[in-house]
Amino acid sequence: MLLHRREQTLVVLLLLTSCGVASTLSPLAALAGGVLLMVLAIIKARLVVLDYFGFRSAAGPWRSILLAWVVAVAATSLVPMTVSFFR
Amino acid sequence: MSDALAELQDVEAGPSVFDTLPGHPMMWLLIFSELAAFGIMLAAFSIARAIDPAGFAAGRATLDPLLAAANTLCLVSSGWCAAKACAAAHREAPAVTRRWIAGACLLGTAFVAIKLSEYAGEIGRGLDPDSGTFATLYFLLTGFHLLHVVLGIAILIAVGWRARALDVETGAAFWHMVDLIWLMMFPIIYLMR
Repeated sequence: MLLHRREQTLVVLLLLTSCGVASTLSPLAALAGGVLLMVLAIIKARLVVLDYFGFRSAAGPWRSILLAWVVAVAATSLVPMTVSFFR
Repeated sequence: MSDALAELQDVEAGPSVFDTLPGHPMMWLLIFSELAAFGIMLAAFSIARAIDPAGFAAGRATLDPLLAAANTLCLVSSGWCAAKACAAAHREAPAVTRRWIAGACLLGTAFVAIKLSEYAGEIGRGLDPDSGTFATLYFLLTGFHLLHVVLGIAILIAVGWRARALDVETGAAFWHMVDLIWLMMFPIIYLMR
């Protein structure tokens, strides 16, 4: 049976959380691992904004504002790895 | 005459951009200010880590990412329950709405219980708010978030009482904000090397 969108979102969120934890066991470099974790976090946050907040069909700037916050936090969190990488 | 003119202006203006927000607009004022506060604190955490990478690596090693992952699963699932409660409230099914809200509150309470047991373990391992920059920022961020989880549970209980669609949407919006913030905090604090 096909799952409804909200149920699909829940399953994807649970899977992505597990993938994020599993990725920390891999021998990825700090910067690559950090980028992977932040990409996963942005995908999860986007799903929450669209399907939990219910902004998938919403017009106006609200969806963009929430997603801009997510991307800004993710980008700032990569600063330490980027600094170490270029040091 | 002036009433008729005002009515005509309302019709011509169409729906306000605030009408597209789920729940009460004042809750969104709170949500955006909370997001700004947490954004600043997370930025401070990242900048402090850039300044003292060794201290932060040592601090992170004392944390238990599996407990935090379990907490993520709790919050994500409780957000789903809150979204289901909104859908039930729109269908004007108060009993179903209350059941989903109860599920969201139970999972939120599980988050609080896991977080408190995590704090107990960390303090037992010698990590306390005064034991360095990492510890101070860790307890500040996660403690402030934990307070929001407790407040969110209280709000959900309050809106579940009458189970009206606008109230449930307002409470659920706050709860999803708590969820959204944790989804960013979890990898930044617990997983990033």
